[in-house]
Amino acid sequence: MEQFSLLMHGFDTALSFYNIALMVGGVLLGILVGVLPGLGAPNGVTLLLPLTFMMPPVSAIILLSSMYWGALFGGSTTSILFNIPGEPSSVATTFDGYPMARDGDAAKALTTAFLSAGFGAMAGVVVITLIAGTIADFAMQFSPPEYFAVYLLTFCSYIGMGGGVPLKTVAALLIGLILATIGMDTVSGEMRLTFGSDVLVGGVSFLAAVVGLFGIGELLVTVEEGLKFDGLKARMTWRTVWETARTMPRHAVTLVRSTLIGCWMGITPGGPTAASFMSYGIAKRFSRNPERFGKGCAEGVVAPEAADHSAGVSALLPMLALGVPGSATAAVMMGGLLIWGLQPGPMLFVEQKDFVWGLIASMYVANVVGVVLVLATIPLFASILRAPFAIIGPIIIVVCLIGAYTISGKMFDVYLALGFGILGYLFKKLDYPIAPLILAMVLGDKAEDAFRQSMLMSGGELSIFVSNGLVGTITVLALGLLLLGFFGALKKRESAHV
Amino acid sequence: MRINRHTLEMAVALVITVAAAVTLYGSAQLETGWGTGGPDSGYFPYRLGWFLLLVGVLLLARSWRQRMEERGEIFATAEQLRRSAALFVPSALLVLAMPWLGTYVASALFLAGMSRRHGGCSWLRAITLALVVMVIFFGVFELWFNVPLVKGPLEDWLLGY
Repeated sequence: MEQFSLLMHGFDTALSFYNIALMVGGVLLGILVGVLPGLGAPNGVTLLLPLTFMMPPVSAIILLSSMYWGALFGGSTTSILFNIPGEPSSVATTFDGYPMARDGDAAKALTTAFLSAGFGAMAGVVVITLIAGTIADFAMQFSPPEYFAVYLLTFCSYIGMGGGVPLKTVAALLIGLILATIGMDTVSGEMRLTFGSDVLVGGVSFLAAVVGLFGIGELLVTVEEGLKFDGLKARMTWRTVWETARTMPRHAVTLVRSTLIGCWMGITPGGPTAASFMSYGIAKRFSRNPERFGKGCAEGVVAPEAADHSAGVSALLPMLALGVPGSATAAVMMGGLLIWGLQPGPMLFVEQKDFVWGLIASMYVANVVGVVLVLATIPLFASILRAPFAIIGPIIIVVCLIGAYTISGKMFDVYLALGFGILGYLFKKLDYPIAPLILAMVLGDKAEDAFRQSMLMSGGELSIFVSNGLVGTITVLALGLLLLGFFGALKKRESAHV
Repeated sequence: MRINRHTLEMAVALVITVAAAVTLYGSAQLETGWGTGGPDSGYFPYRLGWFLLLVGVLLLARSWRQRMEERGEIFATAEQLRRSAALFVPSALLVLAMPWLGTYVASALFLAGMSRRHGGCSWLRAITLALVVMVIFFGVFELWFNVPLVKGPLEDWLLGY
């Protein structure tokens, strides 16, 4: 199998001393970022981008992705110990993780979470290894209508599978798309929606939105509950780890099922957050004792964690092969690729084999490194949160604002970040989803280009989107998810009124 | 004092509707139809604007209906708002001060002030903390990452950059 030899060659690249050092550093930094509120994975990756300019692209992506895994682990930690999700994708972990910790089983909860996460992530990497080549070949057949259909599918999956109020998801998507149109139009060169302002000519940077919405907004909400984190203590011993590991096979069914859900949601861009919720819901539905969920049962931790991590990993596949990021962090990483001069898409697999397979190989190593490191250092990181938030919070704000400035050296982005911070606060409080907004900002230009080119090809006929089997299937799927979202919400409302 | 959730829901829905109107106005300045090269530059934003307008109106209707159902959910209590504002207002001031005083000086003042006010540190501890953190950041961003940050008069003088 050609994949296998490519993978071996990738290990060659990934296992250099420099890259391993980057992995360790990235994971540790990621755990720190995941543990601290307001500095989630998308933010952390944004902050590291300037550092990567001097590195070879494969090392850069290894650093960024290692940080991503670390942040996912760190986010689960705060969910379990503090009932505060460090990442949107670790919200579902609080349902059973925190009660478990509260009952005195904090170490067991953490170990269960990390081992499930490691399993999910590994499975995700294996899936990527196996189907990366196929997807890339598949994507070669894509022309503008297919790309537009995929973007449409991405947006509609958030509406259909994301939960929440579909109308609000649509609002977030539309706002993101409109923000993406601001600035110079690449086709005609005209200024759009700039209202005569010079600063808006370059458009609204999605990185500023990430820092504001995920960073500052998150902090403003977290701070509401007071500037103090009273967390539970966890005494991690190797005995606990070993014993918990021994009970893991009992949850084999949940593990495998959750991993599959996660892989699916990662590849068909649904995202790790949606994956973790879906997996939890399904695990509860199919469990023999559903009433145990929410009170601290291990499966309630296994299900979201495995799904969350496998989705996080597989979200990189559509990003690499199609240029369609499956999560906000994947979107920022894609931004990185573009800055380093790489074009995501099927040609990446042909022209930059070292890069792609070096990354995939590194994911195996980084995940093992990640699980080991997190098990060893968790008490240390958890104790950081016990420092007065009145000191940490402002430091995080400074880091966020500096991060906004480093996007392109303009104060405008800092103002934008602050503005997005307010928006993020409102959105979080009112349950408007944020990830679709970011995704729409990232994909808006491409989606519009794909649409325009398709229209040129078809002479204005919308029927081009169902003109052949491939594009037709994707389009129908997208519209199906859209309807699912709205009808699902309607049904929920009706049953609530009854 | 409590702010009801539906009040904010309506406010945000209203803002969305206004944003849609602004988008429509802005795109109407361009050609919004079909040119020789396919859809014109205003085509996409114009239609997006209409969609958003529809969504905004629907959201307004929805929040109005929720208000009628008198769910009484609170958006935030006075205490919560106070805490959020306690973080936001100084941050906004920091952002405004950055171009004038420079990133490092402004941030140091911010950190010192916040630690003192909310962290209960003595002035000595607060200032020391602020200086230490900013020196570290200087090392990380200016020297290691090689990313210059906004400098003010004090920093220009100190560093001769």
